[in-house]
Amino acid sequence: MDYQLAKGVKLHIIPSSQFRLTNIVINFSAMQTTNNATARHLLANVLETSCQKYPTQTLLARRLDALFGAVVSANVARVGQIHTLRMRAQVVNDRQAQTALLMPLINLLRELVFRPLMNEKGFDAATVAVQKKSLAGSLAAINDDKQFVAYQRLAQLFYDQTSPMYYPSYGTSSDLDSLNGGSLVSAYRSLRDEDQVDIFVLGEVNTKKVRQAFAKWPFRDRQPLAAIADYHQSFHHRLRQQLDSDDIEQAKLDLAYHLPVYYRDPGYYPGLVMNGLLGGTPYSKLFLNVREKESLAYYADSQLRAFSGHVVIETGISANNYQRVRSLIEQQIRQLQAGQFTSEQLEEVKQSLITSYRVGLDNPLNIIEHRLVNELSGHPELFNVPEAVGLVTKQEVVAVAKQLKLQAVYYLGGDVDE
Amino acid sequence: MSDLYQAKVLDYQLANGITVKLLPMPGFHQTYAMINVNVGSVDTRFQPANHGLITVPAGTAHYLEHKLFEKKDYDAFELFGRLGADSNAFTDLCETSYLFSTTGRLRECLETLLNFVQQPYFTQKKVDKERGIIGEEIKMYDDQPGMRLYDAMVASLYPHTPLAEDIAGSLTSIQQIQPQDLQTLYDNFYQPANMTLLVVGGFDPQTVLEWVQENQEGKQFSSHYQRPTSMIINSAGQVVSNWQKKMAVQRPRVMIGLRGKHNWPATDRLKYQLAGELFFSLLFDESSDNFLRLYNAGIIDDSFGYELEVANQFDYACLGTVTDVPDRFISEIHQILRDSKRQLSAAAGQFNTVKHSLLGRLIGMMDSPEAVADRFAETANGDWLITDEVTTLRSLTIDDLQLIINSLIEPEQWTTCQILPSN
Repeated sequence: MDYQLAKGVKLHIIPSSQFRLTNIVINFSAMQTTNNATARHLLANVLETSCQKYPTQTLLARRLDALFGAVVSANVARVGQIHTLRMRAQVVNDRQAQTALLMPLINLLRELVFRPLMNEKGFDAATVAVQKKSLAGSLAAINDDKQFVAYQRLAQLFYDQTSPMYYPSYGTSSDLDSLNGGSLVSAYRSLRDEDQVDIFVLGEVNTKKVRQAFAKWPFRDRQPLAAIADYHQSFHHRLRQQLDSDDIEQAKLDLAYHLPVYYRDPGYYPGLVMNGLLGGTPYSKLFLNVREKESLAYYADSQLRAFSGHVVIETGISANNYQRVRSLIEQQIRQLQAGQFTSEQLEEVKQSLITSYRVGLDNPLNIIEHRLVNELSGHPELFNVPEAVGLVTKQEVVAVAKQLKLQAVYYLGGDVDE
Repeated sequence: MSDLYQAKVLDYQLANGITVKLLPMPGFHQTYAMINVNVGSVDTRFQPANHGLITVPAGTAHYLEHKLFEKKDYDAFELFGRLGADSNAFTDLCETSYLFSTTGRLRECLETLLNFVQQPYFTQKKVDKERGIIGEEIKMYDDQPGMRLYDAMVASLYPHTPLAEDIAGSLTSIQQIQPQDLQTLYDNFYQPANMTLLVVGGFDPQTVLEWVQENQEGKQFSSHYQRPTSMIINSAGQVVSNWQKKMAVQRPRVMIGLRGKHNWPATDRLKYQLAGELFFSLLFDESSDNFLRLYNAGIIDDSFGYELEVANQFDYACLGTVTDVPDRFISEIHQILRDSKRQLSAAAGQFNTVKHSLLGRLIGMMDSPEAVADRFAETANGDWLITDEVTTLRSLTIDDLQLIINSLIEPEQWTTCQILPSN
């Protein structure tokens, strides 16, 4: 059930008696720009740790403990070119706890969103300084996760440098250095007053009471997002390639293929199945032929990026296998394009996708994510996913595979013979 | 709170000795099933009844886990795939778990799980082929500073024991693993009386029980099984109090390990485990006085965390963080721990809130079949379910935290491990 709380602000209540917890997600959406991600990430960290009523992390944590270990967190993520800041909360439902927890939690969230720790001069300087230092540490520590580093550098190779997508959704260390109290205040004001807001409440709740509680939140009218999530980038004929030397035990070889197939396009479900056959399921060609049969990699998988028009392949390999793995990957693509897969494999992958979809129905955050993505992609209507996957044919899969065009190759590790 | 007990667990032991635990979750689409075998990476030296000591190379249990999926004429992993199910397995210090999750064809999936775990098939060719994959897995862990640090912490607490070896073994030890080693480990530990089958999620318990019974009655097992005695910490030397390594990391990482004193039979183990979680929660969680002080002083950041491992023959705890001032972290944590008795009395007013908070988190896990099963494997080593945790937790008082002080607050049993940036 959807309710409009103000222009550009929607409350989505999803009643369910399946879960013992009630889950709440307050999602703020704005278009990502070349420089707004870092401030929004820092803002998320400030908002989740303090407010005027509970000015320290300790007091806030104690308040949450008293609500039966309720959890509140905020983070940032990206859906296509839309940058989202999400505040999430979970609490044991009132019937399980035999005490009222939901309304106090909603009130606490209101404090966090509308009465953050700031005065007319700006956010509390000490809090900002601590969170800034902490975020700087987390951004630096990302470099210790080599799989992620490789993936991130591949993304930067793939995206045009002029595109906002070139900048990671979690921000950059250099942007963080230049942030001050003033930029955080303007990030907060635009989040509060200009972002599209979608609030989701999933659980065993009294719909009327939840609606009444959120109706009191002082949201102003704002313009809903004009654009949808999809990011389009044309194919460039020059292959973007980069090899970085690093003293690591296991080398990383990642590839990005241009594929103009978007969420809920006619080609979307065939694209999902194609990706499942390529490397998106444990029954895929990459898993079976690169990892299992040839023992060349510990991981070898692929993901369909259905909001930004590409497929990513990630592998962890030995440096001396670079050429072999690369040609084996390209061989798997050619096989898909030539329809070299059996109808059993096709069925297996479809089954696996349907199973994951059904399993997802047991996960409240997954249900909310699905609904949010539908909202942001301009496809709010519910859709019979198992049916759509079930109907995908071999011809459709081949047709999608034929659109795959290698755009970027990134390698991190010891020297290789080119 | 009576409503919490609407999660009803059915617990059986079948004639061949296998334990079956069923936790139906009405309204759920998926069913999650796991066989938990009471053998892990630490079981490399063991003595069966009326038999001499047997040793296998480090990493054998993990190697076995990989190879169990492959059979003469089928691969269990692919078979699950054809059934529309996802399967996985993992090896930990004290147990090995095999699992699947499905939304249909439950009987075939259950039979596949029971059959592939209970019918080994190891050949030289297949075992040799796996060396490459496992070698890559070990190398991947070697690049992860967090894992390197954790493994070094455990090795420093228990030098010269199987705990000092990595779960997957080393690039050297896996060269020695032969089909005969897998078979030996299998014969000694993969017996029904040493296994638990857990089924959790959407299913009808009576029907599932009948399917399992029928499957088990069709198989032959040795009738007198006694689990061999594993020599785990008998040879443990003094705790290595300091360990350091330079790596290409951005910032220093530090971890303090505390070796516990006791052996815990399963029933006391649960109480100790939960008392430990409350102890660390009171002293170090975000709601504690210490957290914000250390956080604001830049001594810890969001990476700060603690962990408790409580097995039958050993127990330890650890606290770690990424920090620019490892020395200050070490002295602060040491001081808090040394002072823990006084700190606990000061935080006594918080005890009930923290206990409720943990209770809320446990109840929350019951929303996920996967979380229930993972906790069953990782925390309980197959000995108890989350519903038992809720019952035990409710009975704990602040006095029970003395158990933790008695076991862990012994500075000569502590180690400090650090990974420092090489440049």
